[in-house]
Order: sequence, then structure tokens, then C-alpha cells
Amino acid sequence: MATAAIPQPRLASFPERLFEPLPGIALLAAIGLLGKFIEQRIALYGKTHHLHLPNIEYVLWAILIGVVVANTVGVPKVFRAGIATYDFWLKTGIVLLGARFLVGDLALMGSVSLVLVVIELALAITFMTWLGRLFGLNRNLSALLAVGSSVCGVSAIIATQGAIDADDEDASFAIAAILALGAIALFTFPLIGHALGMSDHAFGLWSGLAVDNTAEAVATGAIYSDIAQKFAVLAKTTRNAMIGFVVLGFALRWAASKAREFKPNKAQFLWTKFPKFVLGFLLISALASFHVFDKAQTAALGNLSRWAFLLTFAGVGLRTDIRAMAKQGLRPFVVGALGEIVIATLTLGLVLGASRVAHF
Amino acid sequence: MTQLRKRFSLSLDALAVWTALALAVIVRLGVIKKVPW
Repeated sequence: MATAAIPQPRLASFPERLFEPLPGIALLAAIGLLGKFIEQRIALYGKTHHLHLPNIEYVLWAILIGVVVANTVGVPKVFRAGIATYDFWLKTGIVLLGARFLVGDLALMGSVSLVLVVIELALAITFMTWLGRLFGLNRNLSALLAVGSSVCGVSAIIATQGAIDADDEDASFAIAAILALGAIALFTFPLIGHALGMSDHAFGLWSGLAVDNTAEAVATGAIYSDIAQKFAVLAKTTRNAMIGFVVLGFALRWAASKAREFKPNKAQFLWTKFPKFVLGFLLISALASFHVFDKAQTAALGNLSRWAFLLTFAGVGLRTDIRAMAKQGLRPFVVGALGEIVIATLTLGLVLGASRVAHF
Repeated sequence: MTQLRKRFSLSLDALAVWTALALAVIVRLGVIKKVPW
């Protein structure tokens, strides 16, 4: 029997698919470099005209350009695969940044961060759960908002969604609220930091503790200063490392509420949820501490990390879809916003208190 | 990037860590001596 040939779409070969992200990565680089160019031009203009212009870091320009492009002309399909790599550049940048931390400093600063993170987690989860109930949000959406605002934004929400069997709609609500609030933090936190005269160390810790998504937390620190970015990465990485514990806690609570047994092995569950790039960060930091890299090599690794972050920050702007955020509805956003304001205020108090005790 | 990860069964975290380690080795071996910023 003869069969009619049905034309099949041609599948791209592996090398072709390997090159698929290149246009998007080039766009990230172009936007990041344009941001850097604008920063330098403004500084030069101020210098030549003897004007005292505020130094607006390239980070903010790159994000703004990305937001404008994505929400006006839009991003053609050819660029999308490359733009999606921004998370890869973020994690690569964080691992490379490990070269600028010595293990001894990490233990000292990390322990301060850890104490602050544990307090922040307890406060944020309790408050957001209560607030969700007060506004009549369903239990799963409240849980997702609580996890998103307490641990690490989008990845924590996705991990918890699977663990508590929440709807995709609830997860997208929570993700949109967290991303919108992260975008607002990018612009407001540095203004508050400067108004309060916060040190780079204190501001970095505050960004890492209070800004939810890793890319936005690192960007907020970077807008303030290079040192603030370092401390933002430290505090945010400590928060990220807690994701497994928090998701496990929610999964156990969900199983108990459904009178079900929690089947997975708990240690294995924790390991699955643990962000492995944190281990890479610690490894590079250990290598730097044992003087595997000389001064010039450490500087080179630090600059490679900066280039990786430049691509990340352009991606943060490009994937900010203002229309999609507006469509998500007001109630989850109001709950998220109120929660974030309270958490930001509490963590600011914590950091300022700790800075007095630990003198930073 | 997704294709590369699937091809070698790597998670995004693992790909980021291996990339950073490869760059660290390249810098350590002196292949890249200076990275301008």
C-alpha cells in the first residue's frame, strides 16, 4: 500500500543548534557594552565640563535599555535562545567571583550572613504566609510568594511548585510579582542606601538579603558599588544555599496537610535542591586562598566575572515584560509589595544593627 | 546552551561550574594573561 509522504519539519543538526544562542548572546553583549559606553561618556562629559554628575553604573543603563527594547520593539525569535542564557552567565560570574574571596574572609563574613539569612527566612516566611491568608490568597499561592520572597525568587518558586503540587497559574503569579518587585528594588534600594549613607559592605548585605531574584540582587549591589556587589553575592548565595531546607519544610507541611507520607529520602531531596554552583564558588575561593592564582590571575578572573555579569544584566532588562506583569492581577502583586516593603525594612534594620556590632 | 546541556546531560549549574573552572585553568596556565575591563 502506498503511503503519502508527509513533509516533516527539518530538525536542525546538533552543531546548528549549538550556534542558535549566538545572536542573542551578541545582543546581550551589545546592550551591556552600550550601557558601559553611556556610563563612560557621562563621566567624561562631567569631567571635561567640570560638572559633578552622579555616577550611574552601566548596570542600570544595560537594564534600562533591555527593558525599553523588550517592551517597545520586542525581541525577535532569533535572539530568544541567546537571551535565555543570562542565567548561565549569572552562575558562571558568581563562580568566578569566588577568586576574590579568601576562605577565611568567607567563613567570617559568611557566618554573619548566615545568621542574618536565618532570621530573614523565619521573618519572611511567617509574615508572607500571614499576609497571604489576610488577603484571602489560596494556600499554595501564599506558600509560593513566601518562598519566593524569603529564599531566592524564581528558582525557589519553581522548586516549591513541584513539591507542593501548586498550579502553573499560581507559580506564574508568584514569579511575576517577585520579578516586578525585584525590578522596583533595582531603582529604589541604591537611592535608600545613599540617603542613609550606608557602607558598601552593609548595602551589599542588605541587597543580598532583601532582593529576591539572584540576578536582581547582584545587579542592585553592582549599581551601588563593586564592593557592594561582592557582599550582595555572598548574602544571596547563602540564601540560595538554604533553598533545599525551605522547600523540604514546605513539602513536609504539604504532605502532612494531605495526610500523605513524604516518600523521597530527605538527604537526597536536600542534595537535589541544593544549588550546585555554590560549590563551584567555594572551590574557586579555596583555590584562591591556597594561592593557586597570583595577583594578576585573580584580577583576570575577577574581570571575567564582570563580563559574565554584564551579559546577565542586559538579560535582566530584556526579559522584563511589563505587559505580562500588568496582566497578572493586582492582589498577588499587592501582597508581594506589602511583604517586600516589610521584609526590606526588617532586613535593613538587621543589617544596620549587625553593622554596629560587627563594625562594617 | 540547552542543547549543549542535554547532549552532555549537564544541569545549568554544572555547566556554569565547568565553564568557570575551564576559564580558571586557562588563566592559571597563562593562556589568557590579562582581561581588560
